[in-house]
Amino acid sequence: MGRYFARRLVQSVVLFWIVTLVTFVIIRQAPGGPAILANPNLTKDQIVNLRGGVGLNDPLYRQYVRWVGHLMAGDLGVSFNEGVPVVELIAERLPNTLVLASAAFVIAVTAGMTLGILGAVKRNTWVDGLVSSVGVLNLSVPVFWLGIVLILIFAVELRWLPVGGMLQASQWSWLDLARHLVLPAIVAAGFLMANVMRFTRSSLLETLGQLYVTAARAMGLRERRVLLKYALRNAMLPVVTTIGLGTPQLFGGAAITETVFAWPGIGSLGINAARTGDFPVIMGITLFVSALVIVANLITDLSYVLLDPRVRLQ
Amino acid sequence: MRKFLAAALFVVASQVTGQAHAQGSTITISIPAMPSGYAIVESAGLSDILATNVIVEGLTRWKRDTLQVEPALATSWTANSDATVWTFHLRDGVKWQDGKPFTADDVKFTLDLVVNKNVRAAAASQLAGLQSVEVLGPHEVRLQFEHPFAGLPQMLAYRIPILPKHALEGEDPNQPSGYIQKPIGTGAFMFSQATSGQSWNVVRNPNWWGGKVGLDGIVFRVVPDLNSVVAQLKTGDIDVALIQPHQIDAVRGDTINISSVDQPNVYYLSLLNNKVPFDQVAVRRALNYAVDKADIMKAVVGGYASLATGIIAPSVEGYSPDVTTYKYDPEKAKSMLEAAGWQRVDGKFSKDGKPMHVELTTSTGVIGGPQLAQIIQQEFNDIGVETTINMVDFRELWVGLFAGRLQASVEYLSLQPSPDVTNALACGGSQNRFAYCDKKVDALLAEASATVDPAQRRAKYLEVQKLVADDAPGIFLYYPKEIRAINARVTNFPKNPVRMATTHLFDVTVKK
Repeated sequence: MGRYFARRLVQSVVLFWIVTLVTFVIIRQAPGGPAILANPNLTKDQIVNLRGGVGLNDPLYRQYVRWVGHLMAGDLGVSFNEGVPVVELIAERLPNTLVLASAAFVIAVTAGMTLGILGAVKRNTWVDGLVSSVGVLNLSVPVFWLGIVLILIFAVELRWLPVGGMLQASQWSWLDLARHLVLPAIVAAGFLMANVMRFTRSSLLETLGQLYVTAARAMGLRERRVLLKYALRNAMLPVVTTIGLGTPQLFGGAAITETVFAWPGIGSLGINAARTGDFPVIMGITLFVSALVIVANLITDLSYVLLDPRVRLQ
Repeated sequence: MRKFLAAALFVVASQVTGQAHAQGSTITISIPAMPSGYAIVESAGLSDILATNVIVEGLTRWKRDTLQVEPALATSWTANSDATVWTFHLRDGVKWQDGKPFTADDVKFTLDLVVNKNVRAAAASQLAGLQSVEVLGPHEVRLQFEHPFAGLPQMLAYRIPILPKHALEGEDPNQPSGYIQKPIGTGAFMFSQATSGQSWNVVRNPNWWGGKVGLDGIVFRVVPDLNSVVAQLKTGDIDVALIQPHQIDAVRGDTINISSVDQPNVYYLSLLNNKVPFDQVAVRRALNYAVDKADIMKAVVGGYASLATGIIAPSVEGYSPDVTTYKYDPEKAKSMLEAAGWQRVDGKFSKDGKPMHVELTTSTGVIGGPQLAQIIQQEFNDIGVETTINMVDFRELWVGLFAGRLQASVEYLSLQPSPDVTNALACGGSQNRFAYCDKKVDALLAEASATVDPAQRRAKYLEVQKLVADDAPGIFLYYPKEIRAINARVTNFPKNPVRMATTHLFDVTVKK
């Protein structure tokens, strides 16, 4: 276990390094450059000076080496747009994204598994049909569209919930936060929920056809116990994989949800940075999200051991 | 459990329905991005202009509802006979929002910052040629330019606010991290609080030199998505926003007033005047006849614009409609091209075996840009000019324009409300996207800039507009109006374009 973990850790670090290198090269080679320098009011002299000021006149490899050097010291640089250290920006925005992602995670996993179990147990009935349609809908409807439609219904027409933002200005309360959270959390949960539901349903159906389930039923155990104690646990492996791999997407995919709902998290920060070529912020967020993906993968792999004693790590 | 849920739902529902959207006399203005709060660099573009305008002030400012200047931090000014040396007398008794006195040292410090080559000052090109700023006394400064600059008072009203020397000295002039924690100015409102990605708030400055301020405060709310802006206007979460023509029907309602104002912006197709085929003035004129501007304007902005005759917009003092206009006439376009030595082979124009090819570059960052490009492509193809479209990111568009790489681009200029278009049209001008260069126009622009007498100056700019229209450096399409959606409870909102209007929010009030 220890050696396996160590090996996976080394792999992760290498992977992480490749991600930073590729991102670094891509964003700097992309046409356009930072928006702060695409200002038609600047003179040519100024642009040359300013490129030098933010270190863009050096060869690419030198820029990268310098960036890695700063990274080692925990310094992600300063945002071109806001003039604030990237670490501070992310630290300020991250809790907001965590709130949204956690709410979305809870909704996705509980609703997804409940619906999946329902679909498997009531297989080929109208309940199953309904559940499957909800799943397909969630997978195929674009997030921004769903967000706008929900805003129109619940915020503009019915006026039950706020249109966007995280809190009414200058007043903090849990209730206020919860009200602002409902719509974006549902929208952000959609994709993961649909995946969890589909995998739960299909995996559970497969397990329910296994001999040990039939044996358990033959022993006269109650159906509820057979389902939850015997079948579900064994059906969980692919579901856990889905959850594990899908969770980082809650952060990455939050970008669009956050933009539509004006939610001040790292997703909307990242979108704005990408739009305006704010290199230090793009790098900082990429770093963070890729670290998240890698850690989530690691945790997913390790959790197999806990769920299925047959899985042995070499 | 059920009872608890029902109770909880009831609480939520009653909270929701009883919610007051904005409290007291505070108004909410929507902005697309989080402002930096630093008015010299304006790294957040329009968002920074709108927000910082309320806390800082320039030496001059726009008169309410007009594009004429009036005194602000300067009470009067004089120029020498050729407008190269300007003396400004500063307002006495003005205090920075931290209580320190405002003096000529602050003016020198700020103007030096704007023209400093190592500073990303947004307005750097507006003060090009500023040689020195000399402090003559605590309330008097002298500006020396290397060339005559009769339009200086207009230029100073826009995007050149004076900032406090004591708060910025010793900081990085591009990213003054200490100052932006708590930006201060001399304006009618004081910065109170910023929440990253959400809002940037200001409150009334009780000690403002200009007297009583109507509002308790202003919330600049960050809403990046235009559809969300519409939704928030309808629910009353936002009081003031700029919208696009296609959103008008969605926004219209009992509580929201839609209005439009002229702004000094122009949309056009720029042509690179120093490259084949646009080095021939006949080709540029011919293509002007090939474009149905009235039809395009109706299709793209639904009439919220007026037809363009050149770079200077009608709302700017010194505009002249009395120039050559190119009324849609595709047959005339064809015959002009033939007269200029282009042959039609199989309906396509070519010269010496090489077909005429136009590549229209544009970006979704230009409002309506892609539609404009498509219509123009169709119209060019109709007369036999082979045309393709190149869609790029807006940053690539600006950089490409700047480098003189783009043969033809659908784009816009957002100009200072001054007829001094030296930057945009003079040979080698910093905003000259046409590579247009005409000695006569250059001479006239220089003369106008050296003429302090308004009537004589005006006459020279009229002549400039005439010459430029004849030369047709590009195809000028329309002057778009700014469309504002303003909640009916907000009264007295200035009729200036909003990027200037926010300097005048001190006399805005809210209906009780």
